[in-house]
Amino acid sequence: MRGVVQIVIVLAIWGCGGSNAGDPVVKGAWVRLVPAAQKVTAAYMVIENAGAEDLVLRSAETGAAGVVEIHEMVHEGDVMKMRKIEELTVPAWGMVELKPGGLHLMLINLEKPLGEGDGLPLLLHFEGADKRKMAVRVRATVQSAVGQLSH
Amino acid sequence: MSRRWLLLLVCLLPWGCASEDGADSDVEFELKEYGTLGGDFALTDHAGRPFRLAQLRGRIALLFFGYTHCPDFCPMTLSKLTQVFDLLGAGREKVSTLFVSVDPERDGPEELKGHLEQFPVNGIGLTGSAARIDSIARRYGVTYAKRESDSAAGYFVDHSTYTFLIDQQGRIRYIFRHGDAPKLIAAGVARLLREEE
Repeated sequence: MRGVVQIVIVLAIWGCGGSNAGDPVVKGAWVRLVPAAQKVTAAYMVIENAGAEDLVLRSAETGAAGVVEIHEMVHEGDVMKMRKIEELTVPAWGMVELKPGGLHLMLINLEKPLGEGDGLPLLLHFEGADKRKMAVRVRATVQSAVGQLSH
Repeated sequence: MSRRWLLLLVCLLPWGCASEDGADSDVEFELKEYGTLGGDFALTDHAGRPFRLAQLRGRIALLFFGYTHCPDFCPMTLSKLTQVFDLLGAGREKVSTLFVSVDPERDGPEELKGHLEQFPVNGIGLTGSAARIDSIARRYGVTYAKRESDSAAGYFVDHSTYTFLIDQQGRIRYIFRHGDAPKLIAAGVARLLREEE
């Protein structure tokens, strides 16, 4: 009987850990291909929230770069300004798009040169209601943005 | 054959050619005059050689200001110009892209070379002393400001997002803005190419 209870508990936890409503879902992640000499790049993706509570992206990390920061581009009176932001809210039942000219994750101090088509692992740390913590693993594809229409 | 018919024929000829090159939206494009804005300048190019705008005489240039530590907006502009070059077809051979760094402290010729070589836009990266870049930016009506931040990337540089269309005599003939589509920019260049004929 004890074994059965354990299995039930394990299954319940496993169910929650899957992509059930309430967890962030990351789609279409890509990283801009940059020349070997350049030590910074940007990562883009769509983060969906199919749950009833707001989710907050607090931080991100990758083995491929020393630091990952959340940045926002603001275009004011024909001047482009880049800003570091501390967190990013993905609204309940909503989504946030990180795309060129808007939001991006900036990867700083790249460990080694990127290759087109490489998969770059990212770990995103989210927080939900009641400080519920979620970590989402993402594989972002390195892509050359040459000739790509960004918006 | 009356003179009027001849005139019509002359007007239609280059239009027909431009259509074949794909930049067919140039019919309505109007070039502008900007008086004393812009002008010649001297900097160092991405190969470490001295560069003057005047040495491009006879070529068309698309000039913008940026910096290589900007991983988002600056490559976006270069991606857009790559599309412009695609639209230009054979005309692209007469066009150069000039990337003037607003971050001479971090952008030497090497950084500019690496940044530009991924984009097939006949790119020339330009840098120089802060004082010289200040003076060029002022003459082109461009603002930029170094802004300290607690980012691990160090400081940011806020900068104007204009792309200048420079004619075969080194004069500004149009100022494109951030939202302008590749098709419009290609139309402007095609218009200048047509004036040549």
